[in-house]
Amino acid sequence: MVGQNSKKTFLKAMLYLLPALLVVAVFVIFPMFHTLRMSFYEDFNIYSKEGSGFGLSSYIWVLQDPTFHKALLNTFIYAVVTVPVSIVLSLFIAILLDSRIRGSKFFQTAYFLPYVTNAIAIGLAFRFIFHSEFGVFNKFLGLFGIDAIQWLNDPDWSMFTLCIFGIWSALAFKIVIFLAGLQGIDPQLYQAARIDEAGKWKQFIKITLPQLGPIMAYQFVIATINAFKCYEEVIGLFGDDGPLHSATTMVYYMYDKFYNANRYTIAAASGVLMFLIIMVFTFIQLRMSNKKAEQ
Amino acid sequence: MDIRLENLTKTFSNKDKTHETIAVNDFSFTIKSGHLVGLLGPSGCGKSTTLFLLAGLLTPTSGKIFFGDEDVTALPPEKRGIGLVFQNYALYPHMTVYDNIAFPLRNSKSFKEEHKDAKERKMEIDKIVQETARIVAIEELLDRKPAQLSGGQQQRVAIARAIAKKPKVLLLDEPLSNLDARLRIQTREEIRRIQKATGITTVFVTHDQEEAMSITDEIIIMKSGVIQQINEPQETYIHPANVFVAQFLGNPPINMFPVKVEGGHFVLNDKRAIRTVLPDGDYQMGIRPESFNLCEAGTDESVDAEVVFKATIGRDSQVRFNINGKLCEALIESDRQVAEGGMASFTLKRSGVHLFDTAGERIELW
Amino acid sequence: MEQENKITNPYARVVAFIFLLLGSVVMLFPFFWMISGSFKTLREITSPAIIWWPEEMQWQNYTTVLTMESNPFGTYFRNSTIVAIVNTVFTLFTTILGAFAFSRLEFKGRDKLFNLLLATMMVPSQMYIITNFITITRMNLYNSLWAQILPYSASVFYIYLLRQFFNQIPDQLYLASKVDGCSDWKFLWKIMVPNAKSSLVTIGLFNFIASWNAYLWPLMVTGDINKRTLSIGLKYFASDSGSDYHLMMAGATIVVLPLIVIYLIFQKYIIQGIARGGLKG
Repeated sequence: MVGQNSKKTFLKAMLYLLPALLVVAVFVIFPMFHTLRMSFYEDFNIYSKEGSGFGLSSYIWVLQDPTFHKALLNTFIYAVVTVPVSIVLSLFIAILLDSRIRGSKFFQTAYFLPYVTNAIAIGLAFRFIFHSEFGVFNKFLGLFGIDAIQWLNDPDWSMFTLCIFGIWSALAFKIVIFLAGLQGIDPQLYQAARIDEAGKWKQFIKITLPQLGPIMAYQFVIATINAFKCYEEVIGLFGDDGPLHSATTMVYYMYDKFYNANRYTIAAASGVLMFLIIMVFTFIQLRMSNKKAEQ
Repeated sequence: MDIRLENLTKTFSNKDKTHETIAVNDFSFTIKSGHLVGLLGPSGCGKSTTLFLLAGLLTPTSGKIFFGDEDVTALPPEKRGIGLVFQNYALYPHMTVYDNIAFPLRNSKSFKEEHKDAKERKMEIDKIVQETARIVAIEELLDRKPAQLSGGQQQRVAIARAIAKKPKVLLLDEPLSNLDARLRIQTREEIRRIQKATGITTVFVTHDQEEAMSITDEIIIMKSGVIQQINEPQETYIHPANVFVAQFLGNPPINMFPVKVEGGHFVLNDKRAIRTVLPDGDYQMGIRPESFNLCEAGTDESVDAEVVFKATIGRDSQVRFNINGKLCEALIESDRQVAEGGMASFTLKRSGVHLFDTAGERIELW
Repeated sequence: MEQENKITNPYARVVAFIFLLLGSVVMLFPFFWMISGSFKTLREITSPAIIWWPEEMQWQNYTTVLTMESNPFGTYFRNSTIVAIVNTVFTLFTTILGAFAFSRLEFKGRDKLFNLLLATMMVPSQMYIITNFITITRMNLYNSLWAQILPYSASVFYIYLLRQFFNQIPDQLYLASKVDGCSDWKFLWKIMVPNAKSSLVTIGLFNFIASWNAYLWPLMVTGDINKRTLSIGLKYFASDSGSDYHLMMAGATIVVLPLIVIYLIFQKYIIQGIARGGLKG
């Protein structure tokens, strides 16, 4: 265009792209391969960048580590609980927010606010609220004669508390997306349904849900990926990985192996495994939603 | 300043370079200084490509473009001294009308050299913007943003921006196509007025024949990258060079059908109707709808035809005759007695009848 | 016009209102409790009764937190601000240039390169921080603010978002600017950028918030107390301070308050940004 030859255009484009490409190449693309390479060594010296014992030993070690099993299990529990619950709740809230009820402006501001907050800081606030002795939640339950629960100190309760915090944090983003989706549905569809004497429930099942189909699939994928990356919520709430490591997660495991235990190849292997698990889930979900869309 | 194109050709190849399209095929013509010229043709005929070649936004595959004596073929757009008005106006949405008009001046290196002092330059720009705004009658809109203007006003701003730097050539790409019918007529007269007032050589691309006919000094009719005819609008209407031009100009369109010559007569509806000096053979005849004159049956050189359809619209009646198996549309005065389904006789005005050979080229012979 | 899909039954509307009210209490309560706690005395914090609001607001909790030697929140705040602002400026710069190249310059291999970049978004960032730690150490940037800024100063996702917006700007504007004597560079900064203002504000806000809240990466590359940002500082402070929850809440409020202010000012941009791009992926 405008009388330039292709070589000149290419050079020019590269100049424009240089800053971004440099950062992405050094801090995104190179690490992908480098981490993968590291994961296949038994030992890796991060100063000489040399590894020894090429093979699958790190993977075998990780897969046999009970702490990893615990981290994997916890991450699954966290995903299986928080993803569906937060999606159902946020859809419900989005529908109410879309109903032009008095004060919906204020409500929107209130429901969206948690999106911008810092997980460490709000985690501290939750820690304060769920404190077994002087936390307001136990005091509140005490009014109904319920004995104080060790929300944060009892390994049997820690995952439960983490899930509550996780759902609370995840709602805002999903409500925004659902609300945008609901507002995008053609009102004529509802008018037509009313003429066909479809009740509110039927309208919801026959119009709202199918129309939100792609958004629902998107929410599931994003929410699952985010759930698998859960880490800051754990630190914010417990300060570590919970009583007796009861709330450890995959990212926590990776960080711990790398930073505290200096087991670099183990950390790399667990990182690759996490990536693979996330990939598999993403593909399964996309498949499922595509199939639904085809029907 | 004249604009001269010499053997100008532009081809586009598709992405895999397997196929080439010739958008502009070997153009050679001259546009006289100060003229308003219309590039007319159906969509895809290469008229916008020609305009963009003139602007320097596209580079020709071969051939040359001269502005006066200067070969501008290799010059980038900003060095050609042109103003271009786009179909969608392409006003900068974030700038006020004032800044839109001043923008090309602020960018111009030669303007900067002429007015070295920044303060003086600013005053000069202000003077030009005010003056240009007055020419296109938008003085009171200078502080607005394009989104706050109507389509017609945006159009004027686009013209003002194009003429502010006093271009040697003004190029307009379908400037009226986004306006409603009433504004279109008003604006095209406005364009003519501005062009006359400034005396800038102007090239105007359109697919609308009425637009081209009404305001241009000359029209260039194009089809699939090939020039069909260059002439004054009325001349082109009266002497179409070929079947395509004859059919393209005129509303309602010309009635075109095959005709035979036998023994010095055209055969119309199985009757030797009109005398001619053409040798026997096959021809194509075109009759303008306004050239039918009703007459008594049996009048010399009259044609008899069945009236298939009739509708009266105010002053005129629209009548369809069956001539040589083709439904021909005629406009006749509404007080003449014609009945749908009946027969009628008519003679033809010579000036409205055009003859072409079977290849479609005009035969100038009466 | 009557909205056909909305709740019309007046009783149902009351029920919906009450539900929304209760829900918003749940959403806002942690913020309220954090702020109210930050003004309480230690006695009020540990009291067995529920104290909604302190009898007297203890502003000195904030002065205590901000002037602590073991956890200098003033320094933390300064570091967070520097990192977030510099990082956002860098990101906007690389994003604008990258999006322009992918949107307007027709160079060879453009689509392939773009798809390659998009593919990198599939990989979770947690996977590459291991190597990035090594890279940063070898660049001698460990324990500097640059270590926190550099790796996140370009984002494929933001380039993708801005390119979408740039693509909507009509080609004719580009051609018009050529006729008016604009170079590509000038066109980008004088025409594209001013027109993409709202997209750029959104991207800038999201980047600022993400940078402000970043935790894992800054933690890994920070050794010295003077280089900590608020998120890390708060975490260390919480580990050190036992059950001084009134001080912890003051610290947490210092971290969260700027975010709330930004949110209240730019709510429209943030909501539109999430809805349009589905950010935070």
